[in-house]
Amino acid sequence: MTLRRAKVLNPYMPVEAEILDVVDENSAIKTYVLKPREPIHFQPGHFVMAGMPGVGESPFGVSSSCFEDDTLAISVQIQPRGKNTTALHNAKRGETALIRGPFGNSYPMDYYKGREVYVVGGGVGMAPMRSVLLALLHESDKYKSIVLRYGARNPELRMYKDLCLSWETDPRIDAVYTVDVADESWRHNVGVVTSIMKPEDIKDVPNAVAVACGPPIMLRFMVPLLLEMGFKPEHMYFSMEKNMSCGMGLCGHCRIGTYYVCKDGPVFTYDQIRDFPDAWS
Amino acid sequence: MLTLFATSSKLQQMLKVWSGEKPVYVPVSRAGHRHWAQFDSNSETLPELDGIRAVEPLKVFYFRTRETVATYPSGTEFVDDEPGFVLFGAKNCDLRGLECLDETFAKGEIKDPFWVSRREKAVVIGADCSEPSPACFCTLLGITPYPQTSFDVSVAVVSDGVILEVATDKGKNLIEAGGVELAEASDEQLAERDRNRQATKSKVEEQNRQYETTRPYQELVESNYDSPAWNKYVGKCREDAACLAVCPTCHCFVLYDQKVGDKNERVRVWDFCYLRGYTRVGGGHSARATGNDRFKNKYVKKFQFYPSQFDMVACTGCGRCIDACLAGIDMRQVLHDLEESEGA
Repeated sequence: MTLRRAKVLNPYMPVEAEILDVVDENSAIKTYVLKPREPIHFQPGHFVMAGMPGVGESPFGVSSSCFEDDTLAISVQIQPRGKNTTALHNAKRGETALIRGPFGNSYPMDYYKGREVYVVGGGVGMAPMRSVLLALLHESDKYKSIVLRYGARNPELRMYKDLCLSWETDPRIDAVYTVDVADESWRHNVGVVTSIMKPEDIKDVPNAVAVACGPPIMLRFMVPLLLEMGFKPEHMYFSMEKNMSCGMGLCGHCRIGTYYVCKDGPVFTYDQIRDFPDAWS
Repeated sequence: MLTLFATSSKLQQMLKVWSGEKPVYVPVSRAGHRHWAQFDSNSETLPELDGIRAVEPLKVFYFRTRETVATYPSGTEFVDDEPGFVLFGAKNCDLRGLECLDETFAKGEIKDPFWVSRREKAVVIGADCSEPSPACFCTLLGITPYPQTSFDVSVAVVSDGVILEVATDKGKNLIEAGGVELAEASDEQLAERDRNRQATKSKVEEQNRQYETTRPYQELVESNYDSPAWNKYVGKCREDAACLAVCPTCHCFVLYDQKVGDKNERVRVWDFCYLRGYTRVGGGHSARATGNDRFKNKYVKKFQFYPSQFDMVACTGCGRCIDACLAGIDMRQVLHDLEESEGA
């Protein structure tokens, strides 16, 4: 009897994904709802490599709910010199994008059950936090409390404005917003995100978990505050987005100290990455 | 392990047979340096099995400097229709390099199918070193200047011919396919090989006495990230990444897409962490913006990341980085200085 060799997949080959919807979040960020030709099952925290045919791909944290994973959403901030983000921003509904993934680890949602979950988002770092929040709210009775602290540079640059508005009156979530620079329309706090993080936000801090994503400067300022609030280093979960290129632990780009962000992350606890300078710069 | 003896003419005969089947690559000298070249079956010259490793690290045969890794739209199946190749005369530092890269490319959850398929098809014939170059320092890493693992056959030059040590079925099949009757190596021949091996090993050890450290490199790098000992080198490093290009264990690459006719190609090209653009993202931010961070990064990757992830250091002491450095930076000296500065 001859044994047939198992089919080997080419992990560099992207899968086509139809752009079902394009949502303008603000002048710099658009959210794309994608329907991959082959379904991609993801969990909060996972990232994908996505782009346009013939242009390239970039890493994006999935921002949609894992409970509706026949489609997935990514939010793309246009970079003036970024070939791929520019191509994505020019793409319209109905066009075909490319996707690979999901890659990396995800937030340990089961571990969070029965605990207070303190979510902090900064800027475009709100994208993976949206996926976490949608998963938390989907089973909100399983968590002790859900808190969101979200900061953006100004009111216009906020993401998911309608969703954020609905959370203001949602009894399942305690959401507070801030911007660095306000305009006349702004009714919330003014200041950096750490200015809306208060010890009284959490009741049982030794058992609570913090979940955050934002620019390195935000993380640098937030870490001492979370520690001061009483969060344990192993209960502080950060989504570290570096310049992942292959997504599979092969190309070396996203290494922080002794980890690859794409394979060992993107979700790390503070005690894992505390001592690696490239995590914070 | 089976050890056979082959005269030069028998070896030549076998090489001609093999090269009729698939490409056979052998070390040859060009312009004063050893390089890999495809064996020419019309040539009467033998591969140069003495001396040390070639300029090119062995990884180039499995992980090419630039190659198309996907053409789309298309199916997702990986197909390799290349016939494979024979590498004849790989030195131990390069064989260890393959072991390091196997950890990255062949043993993770997601494997690089190009690496895996080429490793499966290739037949690797190792060779003993003689006359180490001043840059050779394999013994500082506990590696010998003769093959120990990761070869199918290994050859050692002795009087009037070579000893062939057959380690795998793949190697045995290759020797049989050579179609030449070979006698077992005699005790005298084996003793000669062992004397040669010991002599070369002693030479490498001797020339590296001054660089020896009391603590392993892993510990030195781990505990000295902020040491002032780095400073002397950071300013000298020209960030040309020559050391990384010739390193047998460096494996960084970047992917880019391009349109070719009505198809799109995804191309993989080597990338180097010493280049400024390596960690730069679309928005212009870089995680390692200073030369200081970039210089140390190589050491962290080789002596901290690799031991932590794969329980081995990603350096085989081949010394190519020392030969290639325009600034004259010697990795052995850098690591030695780290230890010396500890007491200061």
